[in-house]
Amino acid sequence: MIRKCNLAVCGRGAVTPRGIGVSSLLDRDAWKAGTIPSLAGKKEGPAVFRVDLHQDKLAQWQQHPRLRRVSPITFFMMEAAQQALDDSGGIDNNRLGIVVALSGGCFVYMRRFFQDMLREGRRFASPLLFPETVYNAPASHVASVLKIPGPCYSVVGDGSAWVTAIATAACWLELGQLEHVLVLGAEELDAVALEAFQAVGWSKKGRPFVAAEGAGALLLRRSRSADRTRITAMAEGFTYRNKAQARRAASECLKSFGDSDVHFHRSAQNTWLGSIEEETIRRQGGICEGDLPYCGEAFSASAAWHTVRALSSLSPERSELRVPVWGLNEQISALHLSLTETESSRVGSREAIA
Amino acid sequence: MITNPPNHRVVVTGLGAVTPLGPDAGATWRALIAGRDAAAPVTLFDTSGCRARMGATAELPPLPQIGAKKLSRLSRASRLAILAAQEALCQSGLLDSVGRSLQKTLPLSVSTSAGGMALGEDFVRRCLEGRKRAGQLFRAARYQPQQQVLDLQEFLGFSGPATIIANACASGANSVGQAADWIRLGWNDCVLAGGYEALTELLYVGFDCIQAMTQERCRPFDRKRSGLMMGEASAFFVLESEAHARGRGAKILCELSGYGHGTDLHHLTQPEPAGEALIRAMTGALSQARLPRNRIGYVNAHGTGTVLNDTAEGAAYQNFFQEDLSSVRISSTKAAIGHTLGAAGSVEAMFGVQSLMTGEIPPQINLLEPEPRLEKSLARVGERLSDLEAVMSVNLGFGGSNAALVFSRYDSQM
Repeated sequence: MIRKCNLAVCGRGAVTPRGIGVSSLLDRDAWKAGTIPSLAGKKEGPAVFRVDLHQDKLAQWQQHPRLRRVSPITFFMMEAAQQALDDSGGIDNNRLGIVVALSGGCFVYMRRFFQDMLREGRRFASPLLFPETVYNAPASHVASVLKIPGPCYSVVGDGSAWVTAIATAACWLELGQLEHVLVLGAEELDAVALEAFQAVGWSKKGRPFVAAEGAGALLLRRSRSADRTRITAMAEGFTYRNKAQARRAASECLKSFGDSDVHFHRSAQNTWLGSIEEETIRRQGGICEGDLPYCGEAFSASAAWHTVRALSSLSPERSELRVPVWGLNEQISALHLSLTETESSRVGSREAIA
Repeated sequence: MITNPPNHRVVVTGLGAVTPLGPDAGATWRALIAGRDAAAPVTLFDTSGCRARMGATAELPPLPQIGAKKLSRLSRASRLAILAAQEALCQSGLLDSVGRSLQKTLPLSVSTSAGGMALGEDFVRRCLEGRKRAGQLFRAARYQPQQQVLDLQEFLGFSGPATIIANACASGANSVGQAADWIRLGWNDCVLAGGYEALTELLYVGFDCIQAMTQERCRPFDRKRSGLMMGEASAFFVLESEAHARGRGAKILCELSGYGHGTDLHHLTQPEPAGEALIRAMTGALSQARLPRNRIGYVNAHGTGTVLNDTAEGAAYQNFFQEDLSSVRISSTKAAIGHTLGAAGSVEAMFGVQSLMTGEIPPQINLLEPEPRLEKSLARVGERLSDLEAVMSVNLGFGGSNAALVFSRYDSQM
């Protein structure tokens, strides 16, 4: 199902294993992989892309009184959210909402809580850890620290939850309920997640899948004539349960826009959907873009990163770009991005050339 | 140029539920109105070591159309969701003779706090114990909430966009309100919306360890209240645009006339004592419904039975309804079915709709010493309001999510 929208992107943010800020997504240097000890702690797990929590900007959030006991995902979200807000001054917090897209949520605290409960017994389960295991705890912290009293939703799913989050924001904006919506995609890594990825076959030996963590953010509002970068359509609802259905879902999703010769931002590298992506785009007569380094799979955070990368690659020569979002176990969705040349941007370009 | 948004009227044409009080919406309603509660020792998992032992669990009706092998792979959460969704589609006339949706593209707005967490718990337990991975694929692949969405789509025969909202205890109201927003905006003309929650060990032990659970009866809005009772349930609505429902000759049960939401920034687990965020949510919902507050005859309250929640909620009602408070009937049905977390908002909104349709009011059971400021408002067993025009269902969530839904009698002339 295609949902047309007219959203201006007025702020972006990213926390990635490569560093802090949108520039880390565009850096072509090799990404460094690390590992996490397995649950039993005896052997090292598979290679992963981890975020260094000791970086100044993340360490700064760890000093906030509300954030003393939170899971890493909250720090990723805080920083990405702040960057997106910093991009656009003069936001009225009373007319601002938040939508967070999650896949695993607070894996670290969930595992710790459960582990402690099994080791120490139910009576000694930690009252400090439990509240942080709840899906919407990170979103709640973001709203509280940034003092945003409007609606604050956490939507859950595979990577495609990112598109669902943008659709939720679009709905609020189109209804005029809010002026701006901060959309976040975030994920954190834990040994239990890696065990699950192995169990479902995503990180089998010989498959170049690398699990990752971090966050991405967009600040959206209804677009005005002077806005240049926009999200103009969302394709949603192409669910699947097996490979054959995924192939069909991919084809129907990309076809649903009803055009061809479109540029696509490649985003399924190294997942089991990678070959389906190439095949589907080729069959649709699309042109693959995106030769930036593989940034691992962090589900909705990855979807956010791909959207930010695609937005950065829009130019007057390539003013339309489609971003497929390859959810790994639920649905395939897509966004259509466009760059509109406005009078002010034309003047700006002429001045830059001069 | 920014134009005014469309504003289609949203109507309810189907309801369905599975709760600890009954296998469907009708049986649940009869037990609720009779003043029964479903408190019983929890036997779904071991509760030894917990302070609390009681809960409200649902007896799952059979699903004869699903084969034994597939049924064995369905999470408890999926079974709860499928049954309630099927009943809602059936009531709205959108189910065929073999129990599948006649509406092949059907957007879904759904809520949960834990999805199929029992499977996830089993997976983590086996990993931590270093047990072999054989058989783990099913557990790892099926615990996430999107799997319950896929189960709903597969077994009820529809597809379409799905949103899974996990805003803790207010999620169920958010999922219904979100679906209404899609219809208001003209994005969709028919949406299946609701929430489900299956009781799991992690949730139970979690609420026990923060000492939010009572060791006796759950007594919302009572001075002797000592905590909540955990429950499990599911409830679904079929929401349609008025034009769509009338166009296909559907029976319209009522109108979903208002939805308001906001966030309490005070604390992760404690509501701000004056209930300001709830007042904002109720104000937003009434404003959208274009109703004065004295038209609300019944409020299905969040009323967890914890000291902090009920104090904040009572303060919010006092400030919001002011001199009209004594003429509003209020009750928390969590005393009867427990706190069903991600399902609570949907189940309780359904009770609001059933009140509107029948004039019967769910009583506030288990009262010993009612909170003085709400004493005149708390509903008694057998109360009826024949002139009920509108009802409100409100929820406050862990994390600060607050939501209010307003349902009104449907008037085709408006």
